[in-house]
Amino acid sequence: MAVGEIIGLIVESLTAPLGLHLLITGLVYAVLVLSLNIEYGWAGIPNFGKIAFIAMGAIATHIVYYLYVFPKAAAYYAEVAPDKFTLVGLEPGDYPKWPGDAGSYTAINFMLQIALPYLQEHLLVLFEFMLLSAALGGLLGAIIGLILAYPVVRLREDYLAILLLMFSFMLWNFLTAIPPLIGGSQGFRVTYDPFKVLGLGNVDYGRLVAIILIFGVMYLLVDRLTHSPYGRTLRAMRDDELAAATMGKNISRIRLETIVMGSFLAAVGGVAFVFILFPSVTPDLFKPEVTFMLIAMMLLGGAGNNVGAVLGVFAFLYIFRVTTALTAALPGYLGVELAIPEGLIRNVLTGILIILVLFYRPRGIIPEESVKTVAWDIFNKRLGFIPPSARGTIVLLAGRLRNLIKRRKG
Amino acid sequence: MTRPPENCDDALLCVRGVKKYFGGVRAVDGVDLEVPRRWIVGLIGPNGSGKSTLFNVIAGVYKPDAGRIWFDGEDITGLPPHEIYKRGLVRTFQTPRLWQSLTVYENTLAGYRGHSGENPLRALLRLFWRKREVDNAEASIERILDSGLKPVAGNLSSDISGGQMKLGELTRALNTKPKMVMLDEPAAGINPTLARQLFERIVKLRDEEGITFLIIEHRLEILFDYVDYVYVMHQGKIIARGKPEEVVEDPKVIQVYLEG
Ligand SMILES: Nc1ncnc2c1ncn2[C@@H]1O[C@H](COP(=O)(O)OP(=O)(O)OP(=O)(O)O)[C@@H](O)[C@H]1O
Ligand SMILES: [Mg+2]
Repeated sequence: MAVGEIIGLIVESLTAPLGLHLLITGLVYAVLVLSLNIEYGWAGIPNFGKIAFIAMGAIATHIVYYLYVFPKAAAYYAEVAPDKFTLVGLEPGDYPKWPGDAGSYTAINFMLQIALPYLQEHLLVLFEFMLLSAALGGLLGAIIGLILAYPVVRLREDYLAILLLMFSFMLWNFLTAIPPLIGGSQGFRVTYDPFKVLGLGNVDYGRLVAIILIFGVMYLLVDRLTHSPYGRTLRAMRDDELAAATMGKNISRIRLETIVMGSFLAAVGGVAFVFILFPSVTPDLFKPEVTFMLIAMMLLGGAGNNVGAVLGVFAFLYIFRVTTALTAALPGYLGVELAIPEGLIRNVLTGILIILVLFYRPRGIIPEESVKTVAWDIFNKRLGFIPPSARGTIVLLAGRLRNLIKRRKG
Repeated sequence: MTRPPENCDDALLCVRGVKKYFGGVRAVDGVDLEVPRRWIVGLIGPNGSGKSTLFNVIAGVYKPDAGRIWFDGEDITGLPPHEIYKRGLVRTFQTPRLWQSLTVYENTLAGYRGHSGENPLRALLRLFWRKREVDNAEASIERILDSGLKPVAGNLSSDISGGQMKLGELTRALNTKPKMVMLDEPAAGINPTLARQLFERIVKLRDEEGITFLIIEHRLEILFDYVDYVYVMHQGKIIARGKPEEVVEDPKVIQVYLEG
């Protein structure tokens, strides 16, 4: 009965075009997964608190908002529309001076009535806002990463994993409890309206262009960083720490460097996350479980493979789409109302599908490949080695075929 | 940091009174040993006599419970492994520890010292390290051709035989341009003909590149044809030392080996 329909449903959700929103979402997550992949995929450092470093991007944005955007917006409207201030109970030209005012009624109103309209009209300021936030966020991420990791890098990775996980839980609570961070439970708002200049008047095209640019830079950075002697060292450390130390690698230092770098990139990614995907920033965007979604995406695509990691994000989104469609159709098939929340069923189905994929492709959709430096080219040239890629498979099969024909003749 | 003792002055490696206990097990129990420059020295003894543990203590895997170690005139007692590597002392493991998800070739590439491409910021700009990488690649390929690993050089190092893993580890160690190499049973799992070739290579490396060797080996009939000097360990202590022909005659050694 339903089997055909279910298959139809799956096919439908897999073949329907990705859609602009999903594409943007995917690219934003891809930026985050790439930074996770350096730490986890390449270096084997289980950063279970990744989301906390992404949140650093939001915290930095919030700080820059107060210190850079508010004064500009206040000065501008004090001149052109002083009545905007009286509307929210401020003296013309006055503004919430520091993030400590975040939770207050005025700060939120100021944001909605003055800062957002100002940003919508002043494109350049929005981009300056983003850049400053990215710079501050990266710095913040790197410093927090350093402080957290320093005491434990000498210990086994598990300690680091637990510490970072706990930190992400703690920070999530702090985001609500301490308004200066991101404005408490009400959060804060930025806007992506001005991106429409990048998209010839269409906001979503503009967001797409922006994230493609950010993703491009990030991908290039990560790819350069990993396909290098440094990437080889990371893998060596991941595979066998003692052997790496014996071959002169200072494990604690490399781990620290990698965490600092991964946290820097995560925080910069966090700024993109805020500006392009979730302009209404609330603490729940930074729930600790988001880390595990990112890890699932990475494993799905292929840990330690940059292309794989990106692909994994989209594989995840497709799986999610299928399970969403299935869950929505379920009550219809069963003919009863479900007592269990839909989201729960969808998550269980998603989990099962991910496990199924990993069962058949344990190393991800595209498994890890050799580090590609000039040494790899030299090796291929001199020893004529063909890597296990599509080209390799074709050559291998051709060879088999030739042997088969020879044997027939002989 | 103390100076090496008088009678150890010109030895490359000098070990004095080193002890390492594991709970009640006296794995290494007061070992004195020296390895002169450009010598090939054997370290033998029955199973469990403490040879590998002594290696681990010298290489910085364990800190000794007592005693001191000097390398090239410098006190290296208790330094971490990467610091010991820096000073030109490298080792291989009894159970090979190649990096499993790297190819054999990549394994031999990752040991080079002072490669600026290993710095995360410089890694971003290839021009900082490209030339060095080319040199390393060429040198690695020469060593691979030399070691007989050519047929498996492109394999993941998890997909090669035990003997090939041993050879891979040796190649990786040699690429670090070491002053001294400590080999833990290099010929284990390698057929007699190849084992002899391996030791001939070791002699050649000593002669041509001036590398000093300390070698643990159970296959005495092969080892004794190539070493200058032998130490015999038993229950954590050195029970005999001398030239191979002297050591084989030593009644203590004969007894230990007869006891099994
Ligand atoms: N990490 C450890 N923890 C506890 N005991 C250990 C450890 N390493 C070695 N030992 C013990 O120390 C003693 C010496 O072991 P070691 O491996 O040094 O011997 P070996 O001479 O290398 O032997 P073989 O020839 O079999 O390799 C053994 O009794 C062993 O069980
Ligand atoms: Mg041993």
